[in-house]
Amino acid sequence: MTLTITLQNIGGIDELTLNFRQGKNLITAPNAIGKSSFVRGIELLNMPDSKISKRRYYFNLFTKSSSVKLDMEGYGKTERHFNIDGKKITVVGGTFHPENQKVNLFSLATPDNKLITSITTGRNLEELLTQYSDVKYYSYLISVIKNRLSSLKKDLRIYLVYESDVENLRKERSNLERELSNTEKERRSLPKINLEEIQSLKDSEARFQELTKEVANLKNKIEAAQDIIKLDKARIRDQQKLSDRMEEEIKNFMNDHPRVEQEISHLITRTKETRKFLQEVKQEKRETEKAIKEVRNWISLSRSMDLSKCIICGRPYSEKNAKNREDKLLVEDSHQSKRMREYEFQIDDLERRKEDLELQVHRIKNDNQLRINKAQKEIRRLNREMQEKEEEIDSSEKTLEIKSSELKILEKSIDDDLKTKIELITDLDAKIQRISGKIEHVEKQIGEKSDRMDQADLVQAEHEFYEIFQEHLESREKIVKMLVLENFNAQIKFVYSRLKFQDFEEIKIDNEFRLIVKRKRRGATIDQPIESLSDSERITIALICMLAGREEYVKDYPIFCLDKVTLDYDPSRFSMILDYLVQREVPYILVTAAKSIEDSSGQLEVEYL
Amino acid sequence: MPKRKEEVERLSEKKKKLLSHVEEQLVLHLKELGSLPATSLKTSDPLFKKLQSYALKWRDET
Repeated sequence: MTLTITLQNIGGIDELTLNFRQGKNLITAPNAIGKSSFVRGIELLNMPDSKISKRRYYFNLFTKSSSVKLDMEGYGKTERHFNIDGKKITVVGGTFHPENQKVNLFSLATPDNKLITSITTGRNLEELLTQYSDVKYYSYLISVIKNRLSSLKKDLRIYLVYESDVENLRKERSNLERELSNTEKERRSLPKINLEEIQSLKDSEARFQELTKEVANLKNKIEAAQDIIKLDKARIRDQQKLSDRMEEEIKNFMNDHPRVEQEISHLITRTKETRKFLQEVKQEKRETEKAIKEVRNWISLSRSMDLSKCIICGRPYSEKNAKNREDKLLVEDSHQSKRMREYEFQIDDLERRKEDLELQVHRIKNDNQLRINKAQKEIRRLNREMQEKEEEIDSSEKTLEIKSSELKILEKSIDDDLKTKIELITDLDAKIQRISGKIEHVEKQIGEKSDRMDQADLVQAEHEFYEIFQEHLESREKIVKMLVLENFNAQIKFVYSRLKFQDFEEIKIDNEFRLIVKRKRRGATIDQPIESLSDSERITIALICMLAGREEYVKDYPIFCLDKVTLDYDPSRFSMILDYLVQREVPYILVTAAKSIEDSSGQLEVEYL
Repeated sequence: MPKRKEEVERLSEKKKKLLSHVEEQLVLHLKELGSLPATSLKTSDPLFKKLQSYALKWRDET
């Protein structure tokens, strides 16, 4: 009978196969070679898929695929593959044992084992020990029922509000019915009125209303026309003022400029004279330019022919004299140009002054006259409008007089008593209609809320059932818990008696799931808190509880593994634990131990004890 | 409105048997499920329907 375990890419192990024989197997290696990784591989054989994704650190850091294989002769084979994609780990292959979680908790003694850490740190064991019993179903059902009860309580509170609402609505309906009865009584007490009378009254009233409206409209119309006349008068005054001002302006201008026409004429004459001077200067300038040209020709000719005297007059020729003559002519030409510019400037100035004067005269005379004409035209239009409005007022006043007298006659003809009675009847009829509508609305609300309240009985019944059922479940949960505790304590007692330890009087878990250790001190038995025990004593108690759990839940599991937890043990105590496991016929007992580098091959080795 | 514990104790043997039966059935149902659903059940959940049917049965027999 042999056990073969193969790991691939687990922790620091790339690939490893170890063979074990039945009995005690010691796995040795120096530190950091892979003993803990190997134990993690064994843990992965029975770890549920849901927990593996939280154990990324169990696998090789750079791998995307890992596996563990177990082959136990006469027991079976298991192979699990782990495909790693980032944080997601997909598992192919089931666990080695169906009670996988119990197996890891009660057969794998490592420093990370929850039972060992809970006991050594003095934590309450209720959750840990009851999770594999029916207690979890009872706890779950109690939670479900509590939730449902809370929801039903809310519903019942709503129904209570409905009940109060319906009561109030019924009171309101009763009040409305009383009010309706009184109003109908009052209505019946009134004398009957002839329909023709009512119709005649209604017609007269309608005519009265119509006439009143017409009179008001006429008054408004007269007032509006009077307002327009008032406005028109003001406008005529304004226009007249404008016209007068324009005339005044023309008059003032003519007084201020009595000889303006004469002045314009004078400016024209002066312009003509200046133009004449300009023409004369231009003529002179043309002659000067001609003389300059002749002198220059002479100079040029005399140079080319090398003449010493004039070929026409025979006088001696001097270029210097000719040059002097040219300079004089140029000075004269420049002087003439200057004069020409002065005359041109004078002409421009005279013309501008003349145009300014003409423009001023035109503006004053023509523009003001235009404005005067416009104002006079507007005055004529406003006068016409005023006349029309006055005629309209006359006509409206005549109509108003007629309508007012008709209104007075009609007012006298209306029977005030009858009118009051009809108004009262109309009001009462409207009131009866209004109250009836309200009663109908209230009845509808009562109906709707009563329908909903019919469901209240069902909710009430459900609520009662859940309350009773919750108490039943709580009592059953307590019984099952006590049963779990009883069995576990019995197993602790059994394991402790077989181990033959002498340290403690009794180890047990009390009803509150706290671990109690009793030991003899100075002739008396005392309860010793777990925190006050030494590390090795705490580990011993944790291992006893672990072995008790194994006896209770996974007695048939063929492997028990001890990793690091017994490091502080002396050899005799350590062999007591191993002897117990042999005695209990555990097929494969695996224990890890550190080995010095000098004595090691540098790999994991298995020694059979 | 809620009944007191004494009233529950006064329940007949028949009612107690009914409660035990309901409890057994529900635990069996949960065991068959494998994993437990959320404690706030939806009205469409089979467990919710079972609970309601037992509540009605309880009402009819009380």
